Amino acid sequence: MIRVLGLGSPFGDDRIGWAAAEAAGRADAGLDVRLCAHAGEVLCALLSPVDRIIVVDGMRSGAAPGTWRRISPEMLRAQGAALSSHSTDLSQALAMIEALDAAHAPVTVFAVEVDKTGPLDVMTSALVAAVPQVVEAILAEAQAVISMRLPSGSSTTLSD
Amino acid sequence: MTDRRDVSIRVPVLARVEGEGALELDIAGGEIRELKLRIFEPPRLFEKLLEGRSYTEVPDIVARICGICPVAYQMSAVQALESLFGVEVTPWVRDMRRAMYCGEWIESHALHIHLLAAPDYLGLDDALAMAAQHGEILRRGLRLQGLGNELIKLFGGRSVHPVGVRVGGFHHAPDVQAVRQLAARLRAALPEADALLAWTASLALPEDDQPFLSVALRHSAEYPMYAGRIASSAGHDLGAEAYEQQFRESQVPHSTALYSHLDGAPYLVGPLARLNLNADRLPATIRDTLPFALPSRNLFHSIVARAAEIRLALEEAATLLERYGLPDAPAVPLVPRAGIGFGATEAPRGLLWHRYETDSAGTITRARIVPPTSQNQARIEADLRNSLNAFGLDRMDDELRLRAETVIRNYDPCISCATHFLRLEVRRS
Repeated sequence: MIRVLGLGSPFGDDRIGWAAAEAAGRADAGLDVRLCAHAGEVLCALLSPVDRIIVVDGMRSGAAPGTWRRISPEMLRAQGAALSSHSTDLSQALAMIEALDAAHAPVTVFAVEVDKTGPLDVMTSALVAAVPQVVEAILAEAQAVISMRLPSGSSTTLSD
Repeated sequence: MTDRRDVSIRVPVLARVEGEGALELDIAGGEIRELKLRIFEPPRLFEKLLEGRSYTEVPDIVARICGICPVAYQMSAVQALESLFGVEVTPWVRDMRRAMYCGEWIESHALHIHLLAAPDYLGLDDALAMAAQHGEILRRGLRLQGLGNELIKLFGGRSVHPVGVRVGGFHHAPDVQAVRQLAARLRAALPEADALLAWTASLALPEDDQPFLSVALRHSAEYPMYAGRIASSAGHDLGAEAYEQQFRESQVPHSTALYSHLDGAPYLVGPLARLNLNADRLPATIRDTLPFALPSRNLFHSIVARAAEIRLALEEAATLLERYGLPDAPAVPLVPRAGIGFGATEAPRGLLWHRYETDSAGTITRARIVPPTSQNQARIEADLRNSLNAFGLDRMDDELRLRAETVIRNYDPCISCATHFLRLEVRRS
């Protein structure tokens, strides 16, 4: 099973993780889509057994809003913040999993540059435009995982 | 390749919504001269946002106020609007709302106990250290929290900012098979909740006896959650509509938070206040497990109170779901009308009070929301004074800071994440 984990909140561009994960789920029903708004949910989603976890989250790196990139968990830098029940800091959640000495599926992260994330903001057009691109990348990532699992000569799609 | 230091993945919205905390402490001549807990209280934004919206949008909008307790906001809102429109929901709706609410108590309390509060009582820096040293306890907590999330998702469509609740009932009734399966898992998890309660009861909690006023709902037959009248340890017995006459919110210069007082006095809301006022509504199996007598005068008993409420909510939810059957309709019809309505339920952190005014089409013309964190602010400051004095003001700054943080975290305020980074300024003279 491949799990797509959307991190975020309903507020403005911070919804990008949810929006992309939900869109990926609509594109392929074979994906296990989970939306998370706080650390506890992220930890639960990481702990339960699956083959691969694809995370979609917002980021602030100084790039143009809507810019997205594929990164590995190793590239996540701890923010120096303690884990809080009110945040979804992925690097902290992964550190917790490691501290628990728990196995988890390989994690790939798609991070999308956000702009406005206030309670009254709606998702900006650059972020809306990025959703199909991110979804395409998620599906390609998932398909690559499946292809690696298959014996040579066979083929399948995500929904099979 | 991106430089690691340039990549920052954060979800700051809830932190932003919850605000930041800072403590200023002035000690002179061995006495606290000034103690200010500064926080930012955000729900007022939502109150303004609700104006001009249809009543049908309210449950989904208020669910966005808090990522941890969206159900509480939905429940107080629908109660207020249903009373305004003169709607009586069916017993099925009432039971399933209580079951859903149980999910939120389980989820929220499990998070607070394991990620925020427990490290304070185990001498650990944070939940990361707890994961390393008490891994199985943390795993158990996450399993319980996961069950709470699934309960919310069952009725709300998703566990984050659920969308299943509507004024008059629910949008959909869950599938019988799914309900049965979850009921069985909830029942099977009761030994884990028992073990959690026993574990919290075994913690070496600080001794800190102090007087305080407890405020919570009280119901004629059940432990308060979804319904009841507002009661206090001073003998108050009020309907939700009378809240404004007895409780006063006021602004203080050092904080954007509103401070609440009952007849001029700070008061406590939340699990320990609920326990103190509803000991006779607790199942004996839970009450007899508590390592202290009720009413308690030690705020640090709150972690045990949360574990007790997890145990209670787990069994209640299992029982409610075991009786589940598909209803004729998941909601009752209603006709909007102009008026004023009030709702009060027990969020995991305490009493959550809503007031709405509508026009004849059901459009919100005014909204007021008083969350538990706001109500506890004055009590937290009073507690800090009591606790730090009892602890000893001549202690090192780091010791004072840790004790102050422990006191604040113990209330599970919605500024929990900010209080992890509490900036303590101690000025001595």
